[in-house]
Formats: sequence, structure tokens, C-alpha cells
Amino acid sequence: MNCQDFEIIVNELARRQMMQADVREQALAHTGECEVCALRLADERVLTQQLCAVTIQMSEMEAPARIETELLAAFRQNKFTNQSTRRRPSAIQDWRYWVTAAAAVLLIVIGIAAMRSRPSPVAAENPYVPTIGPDVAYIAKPSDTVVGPKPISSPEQGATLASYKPRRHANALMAQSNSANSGSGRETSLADRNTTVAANYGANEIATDFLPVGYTSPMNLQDGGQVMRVELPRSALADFGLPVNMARVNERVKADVLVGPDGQARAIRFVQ
Amino acid sequence: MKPHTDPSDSELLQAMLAGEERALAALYRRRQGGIYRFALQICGSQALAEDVTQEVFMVLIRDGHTFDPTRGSLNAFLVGVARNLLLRRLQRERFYVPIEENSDSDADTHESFLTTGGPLEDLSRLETINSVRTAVLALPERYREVVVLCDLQEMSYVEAADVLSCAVGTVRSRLHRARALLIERLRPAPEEQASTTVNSARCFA
Repeated sequence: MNCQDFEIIVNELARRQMMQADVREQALAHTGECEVCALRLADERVLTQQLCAVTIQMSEMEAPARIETELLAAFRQNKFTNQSTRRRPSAIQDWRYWVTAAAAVLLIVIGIAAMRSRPSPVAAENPYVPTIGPDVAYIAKPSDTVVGPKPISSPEQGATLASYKPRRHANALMAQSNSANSGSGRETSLADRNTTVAANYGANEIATDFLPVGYTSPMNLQDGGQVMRVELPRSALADFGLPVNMARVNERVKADVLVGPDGQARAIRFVQ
Repeated sequence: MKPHTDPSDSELLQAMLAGEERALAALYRRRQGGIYRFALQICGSQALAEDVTQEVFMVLIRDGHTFDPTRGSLNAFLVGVARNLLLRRLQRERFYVPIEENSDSDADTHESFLTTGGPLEDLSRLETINSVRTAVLALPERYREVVVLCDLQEMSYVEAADVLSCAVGTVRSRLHRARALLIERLRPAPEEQASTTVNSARCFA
């Protein structure tokens, strides 16, 4: 046996663990030849004795008696609790199940109600989508909220104008319908619709807000006017700050031009 | 040797789970000492060892049905629970109490061990035991565990491996390293040896 082999078994040798008799004899014989290994075994034996002394010293140590008393009391309480509420977990689970189900149903109902009460996301985000039914015109004060619809009394009077403050323009704008006999008595608040008002002439037309032309003031617009359908180059959209598809820049786009009593254009809206 | 009629740990556990209070009491009296000493040897704090001992048996009351006898003995299971609780508490509180705090209570226990030899010899043994306990407590955690389990609790490598959830070879190698560290720490410093020699020489001068 060499020193390396001896080092492997020195613990077992010092701790008097079971090992093969011939291995033990070889190890002891090695300690007679190697002084270092003999000292190593002596150190290990001393440590074993010291640890044995600690073990013996602590062998009588026990937990205090009060712990047993407390444990037995806890055991009795636990046993009582288990017996009295053995079916309780399932009851709790049932209760939680029904509460969760009721909450889910409530959330669905609230969600549906919220969906119905708000405008469609397309209309809210796209100013080209009309939010007012066809053939309705409004007179509005130059404020953020349009007070309500007012039908045009007769076609001869021309278009009755509505002015309001749009999202992107500080100037007052107008909305008008060329149809005079519809929408009577119907009131719609537009404050919660981002003040986007557009009249839809045809069934499938989409119009922008009225955009002021030149430096027309709202006061002049209240005098009345007339809406005329025209066609303009698509590049005209850029003049009013609207995005232009450069691939279709040569195409023409429909527009409604509000002409004042003096025959001058006051506002314009683009129709698609 | 225990009487042949003594029920085994598993039988006591089954009876306890069936609601027998006496089974719990018997099981507690049989195993609490080992659990308490293990905790005390690992952490060095009597208060923490008491807490852990109580908590181990509370775990047994609550979750005793999770014990699987095919995976090891109930003692190994309890010591394993104690080890986990201790590690959690020690990590949370860094609760290392110097061994000197227990000197009063230890002195009573020492008397039962120190029945032979004169007072000077007893004093020397006490110092040695305290220094060994301090050295064990100063070991890194993984080495301390194997020393406590294999040397102080006198468990076999297999039992210790069950408690530590590791291989037997790991226990052996850790124990080898731990004992080497202990020998190194318990070896008197060269200066101490030299000063002792000088003092003796002065006394005899």
C-alpha cells in the first residue's frame, strides 16, 4: 500500500469502520514504514476521540418538556380541526368556483355593454369614417361640443352650417347636408366622438371633416351657404395637411366645397 | 436493547396519523433527542434548536402521510426535515450564536460526562470539547453537515446520504475534507506551543 491508498482509507481506519481485514493490516503496516502517514493516522484518531467526547457530552441533551406539551396540544387541535372540517376544502373550492364563474359572466356582460356604448374603433381612429347618419345637418356653436342636430328647413335656404372645433384645426369648421327632410328631432352628442362629424351623402361614402379654406372666420360661416360636389387632383389633399398616396397622386378625388353667400369657398371636405 | 414489543417508527407513525395521541408521544420521545442535538450541533443555538425540533414534529403531524418508507427510515426523514428548516432559518436570519452563550446550561450536562479524573483534567476536557464544537460550527455548511451526521450522530454513509439527498461517495469525500479541516483548525498554533515552552522554562528557572 502506498501513501495515496492510505489516504483514501485513513478516515475509516481512524473511525474504526468495517473494512476488509487484509486492507486494514496493509494500512497499519504502511504506517510502520511511513512516518507521515503514521502522523496522519494519529491526528485522525485524536480527532475521532474528540468528536466522541462531544457526542458523549451531548448525548443527554434533549428538547425541553414544554415542547412535547405544546406538540400534543397542537395535535389535539389539529385532529379536532380535521374531523370538523374534513369536507371543508371541497366546499371552499365549490364556493370559489361559483364566485369565479359569476365574476367571469359579469365581466363578459360589462365588456359587451362597453362595446355597444362606444363607437367602433374604426370610426374613432379614422376621421374619414362618418359618424352621423345621412341627411343630417347641424348648427353648432364654435365650441368643442356640437349642441344638436337641426334639420334644414328647405332646400332653397341652402345648406345650414355647423361649425365646431376639429381635432387638428383651431378654426371653426362646418358640416352640412344637402338633404333637407331627414334626421328631424334626433339629437346626438358628439363630444365623446372626438368631435369628428361628417355627413354621409351616399350609402358608402366616407368624408373628412370640413377644412377651412383661406382665412374664413366662423362668424361669416353662420350666414349660410351651399355645398357643391367637385373633383380635385389628389395632390390637393396635401394642401390641407392630409396624407397623399404618391402612387395615386395623378388620380382625382371627390370633395364637397362649402360656398358662402358671397360665392367664395369657405370650407372643403374630401369624400371617398 | 429495546423490548421486542416496541412498535417500529412506521407503526407509530401510522397510529399517529390515525389519531392516536400516545403514538405521537412515543414517537416524539424516541426521536426528539436526536433531532434536537442535530439542530444544536448544526446551528449552536439552543433556542433555534428547540424551534426546529418542534417544527419538525409539527410537519410530521401535518404532512406525515408524505413519508415514504421505501425511500429511507423515518429518522432520516425527520433529520432531513430538520436540516431543511435549519438551512432556511440560517439563511434568513444568519443566526449564528456563539457557543459561550450556552455555557451555563452546558455546565450541568458536562458534569454527567465528567465523572472520572481530577478537576484539572476535567477542565482540560471541557476546553477541548468546546474547542471541537466551535471548530465544527465554524466549518462550511456542507462539511459541517457530514461531520454532524456521520461523527456526532453516528449515522452510516447511506443514512447520511439519504438525509442530504446526495450520493454516498459525496458523503465520503465531504467527510474526508471536513475532518482534514477540523484537524487543521484544532492543531495548536506554533506560537502557542512556543509560549507554553517558554513559560514552563521560566517556572522552572
